[in-house]
Amino acid sequence: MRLFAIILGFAFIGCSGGGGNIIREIGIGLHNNNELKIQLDVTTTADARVYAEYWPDSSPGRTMTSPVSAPGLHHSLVLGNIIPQTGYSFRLVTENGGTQNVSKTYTFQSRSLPMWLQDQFTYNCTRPELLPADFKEGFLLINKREAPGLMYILDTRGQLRWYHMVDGTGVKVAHFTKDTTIIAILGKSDEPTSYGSEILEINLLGDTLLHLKKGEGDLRYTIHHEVIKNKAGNVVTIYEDPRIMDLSRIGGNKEDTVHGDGILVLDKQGKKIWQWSVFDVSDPFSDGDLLKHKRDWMHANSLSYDTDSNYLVSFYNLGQVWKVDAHSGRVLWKLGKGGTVGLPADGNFSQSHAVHINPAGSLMLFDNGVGRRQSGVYAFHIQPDGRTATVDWHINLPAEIYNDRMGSAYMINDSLVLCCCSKKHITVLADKKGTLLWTLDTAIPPYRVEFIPASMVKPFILN
Amino acid sequence: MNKYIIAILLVPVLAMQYGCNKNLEPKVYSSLTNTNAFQTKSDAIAAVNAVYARLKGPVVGDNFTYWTVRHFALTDLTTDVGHCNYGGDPGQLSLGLWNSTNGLLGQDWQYIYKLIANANNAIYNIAGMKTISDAEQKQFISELKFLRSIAYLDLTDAFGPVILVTEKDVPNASFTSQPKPTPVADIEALLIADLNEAAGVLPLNYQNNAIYPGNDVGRATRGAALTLLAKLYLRRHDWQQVVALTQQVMDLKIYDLYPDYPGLFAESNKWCVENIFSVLADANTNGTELLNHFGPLNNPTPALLNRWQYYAVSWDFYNTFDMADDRRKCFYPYYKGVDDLVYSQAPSPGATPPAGVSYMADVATKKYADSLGSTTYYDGHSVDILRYADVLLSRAEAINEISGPSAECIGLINQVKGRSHAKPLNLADYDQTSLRDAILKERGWEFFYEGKRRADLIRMGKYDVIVNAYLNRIGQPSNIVMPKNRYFPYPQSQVNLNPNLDNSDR
Repeated sequence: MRLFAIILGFAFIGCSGGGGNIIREIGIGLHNNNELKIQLDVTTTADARVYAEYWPDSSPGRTMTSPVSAPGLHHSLVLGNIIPQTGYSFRLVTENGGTQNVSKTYTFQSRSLPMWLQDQFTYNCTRPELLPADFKEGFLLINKREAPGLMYILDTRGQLRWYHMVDGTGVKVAHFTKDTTIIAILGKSDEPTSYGSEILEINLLGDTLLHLKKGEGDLRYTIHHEVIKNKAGNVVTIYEDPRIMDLSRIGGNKEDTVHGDGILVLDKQGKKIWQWSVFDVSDPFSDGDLLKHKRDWMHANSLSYDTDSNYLVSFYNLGQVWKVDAHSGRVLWKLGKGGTVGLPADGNFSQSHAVHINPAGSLMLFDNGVGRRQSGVYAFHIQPDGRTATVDWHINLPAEIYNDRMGSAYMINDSLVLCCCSKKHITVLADKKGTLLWTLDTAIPPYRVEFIPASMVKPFILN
Repeated sequence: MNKYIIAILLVPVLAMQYGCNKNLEPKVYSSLTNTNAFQTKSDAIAAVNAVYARLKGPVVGDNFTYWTVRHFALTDLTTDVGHCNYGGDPGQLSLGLWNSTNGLLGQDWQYIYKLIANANNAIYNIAGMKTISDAEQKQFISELKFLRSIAYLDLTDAFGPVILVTEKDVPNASFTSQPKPTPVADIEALLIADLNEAAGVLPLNYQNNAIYPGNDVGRATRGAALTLLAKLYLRRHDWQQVVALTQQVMDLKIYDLYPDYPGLFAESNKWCVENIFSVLADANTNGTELLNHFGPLNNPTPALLNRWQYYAVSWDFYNTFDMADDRRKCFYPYYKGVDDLVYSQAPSPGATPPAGVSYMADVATKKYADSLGSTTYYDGHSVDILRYADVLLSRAEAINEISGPSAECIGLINQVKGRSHAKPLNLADYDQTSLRDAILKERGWEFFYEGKRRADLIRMGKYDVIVNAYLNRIGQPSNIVMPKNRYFPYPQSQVNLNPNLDNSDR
């Protein structure tokens, strides 16, 4: 009888030694063919929810956690925040019938970045103590326009921390949204600069949330330069509006084409919600040089919201920013050369980019400064009646990083601005005197560089 | 307890043990190996594109390596054509003086090998892919082998026997090995095989191409592989092969001379009938710093403001152009500067300029400094690595070497001269030796700063004679000594890593 008890006891010891561990298989590989995302494919012997705890071997205390899987037998866990060529350890936590079990520890070694992602960025900062913590801990979004296109998220030490490559097309514009997603215009190499024909929204796991293509639904146009979302979650973009016109009276053809721009609002299924065109509010024949400009009459290059949710659109060829009523389409004012808003002499910008309302409420823009061959940043205060504006502040960037096309400028805090000088392949952090505190050289010319506060990308990317 | 009962009890207990142990040790499998890292066609294209990018460097924040500037320090500055008025490494090369610590030698070696390493890695990985079609795989590998061939041809031009690494070395790469340099003939054997393979696979052009949509000009073609092969045989003095291969290129009937020599190099002229293989750039997306380095000093033209005249042409060479020759128009010999000084050539060496005049030490070329081009820091000039005029002159050279001057041979040279309205040659005036000299001169006028001059002088056995004569004319000693200067010394940083790189005879 005593032997029976021992045998029975042995049996129970054997099972409890398993701790109810129900993991049958663990597959370790890449998620979406991405070297900075590891995917664990876990099979359990019973329905369970599973997540992974993982850490770099060099910092065992720095434990990160994957999302928790849905109940089931097969679980795909994505481990973000991977650094190349680094040893990692992980353990799996299973939750099954109210019992939580932790596996033993396994390891993997992340691989190097593919060759096309190596040697792409380098930063320089001689006085890192002058950088605010928010900036040091934050991230930068950059896109590559040539196919195969890429979206990159870097830390401020120039280290690539996240990327997403698209097949067969380029990423013409990319924007980080408040929903912790990236929305982008995709376009082929034979579509010029920032022009494209697809809208893609992905989350930080790289999963597609929205993919609209020209020719499908109400997306009938070539789109360009900007794609954002509105409060209702709809997609707002700039489109190219080619209009057939009789230009014979000014020396053109009887059936000629003038390429204008417009704003298009689509729902997630690609159904048109609202549409506006420059032709609704402007007469092309008022342009005395229309034949010269007809291929790209105004060249809209940025779109954002004013504080009252109406649109702000900037036009490179006009050197103007327009406020457009988001309902009626009426132009409320025009800021810039030949505009309706009275500007002081020190507010004359040449071409504006990345026009937006900054956290202090100023209308802020990157000025190419073509006339002076010196780029800079302007922050304007527009009077409520929209008739006059004053310059809140203006930064002259060093002449050495003059950038005649593209570019962006965004506030990091009350005093520092992140400026992208696209054609110089450089992004700088400048104070309001134009002193550079930090610079990032890039192998590609970024169209814009957006700053992403660290809190926005947790837990997918951590510093 | 009966032993049978014990046995009956033990069976499920052992089974439970076995089962539980199985649970304790899940099967773990990993695909994080170092092989077959390429999964998609986009991976393959991104890798191929990365190797093309290596022709320009790229160095982040410093976009002027290899074929978009620094390579010219080796190929042109070290000859009678190029001149650099700055000191240091380029100045040393410009005077025919250098040693193994010259930074430009080390950088060219480094960036050429970066291309080779990337190409090897891509060939290895693409060869193992199962997710692309056979045609795609062959296309990508052929492009890569073509690009690698350019790199090895340049490397062996400069350094002779070098370390041969190929895709076969990728899986068991040893970063601390110290191999002996491979003889040039063995490297050439690989290039001949690779280029023949590429010529059999690559398309004539990229119009309506199934793999690369949108007429993706600038990629390697059949004509480019054949032309590069002809250039390799030219170096080997294998004249019959040159004649045969140049005939094949001509028979493709897709190339011709662009009618206007200065226009051929206009920044806006990205690709034309004369381009066989070029490094293309776009100021907006992947600009170069050619304009900075080649543009004239203190010139007020908007596109030329703040350029450096770093890589320029010697007045001695400029003065050899016939006045009627359009190629003479490709320079900035005289202009009023931003400082109101008149910039010009000195009437005699060392002459003191009068008030209001600045005598330039050398003359800037328009070849990569289009006055109507980009006004920004980075520019979109192209560099023609292979163009049709080279096919014609290479063929003329080979024919002359085989059988001396002939109507065809003179006709080929005059075709090139004729495009630039230069005075044609007369068959009756030449024997084989004098025509060889004429071809060498012609190649200088036609291809200055196209990365060919030093190889041309060496191939024709005139490197020391012509460069020393030039150096003497500008008051310098005869610094070129053959065969010592046939190859550059291996960069000291490499010798430190690998003592088998022996500089005792160079």
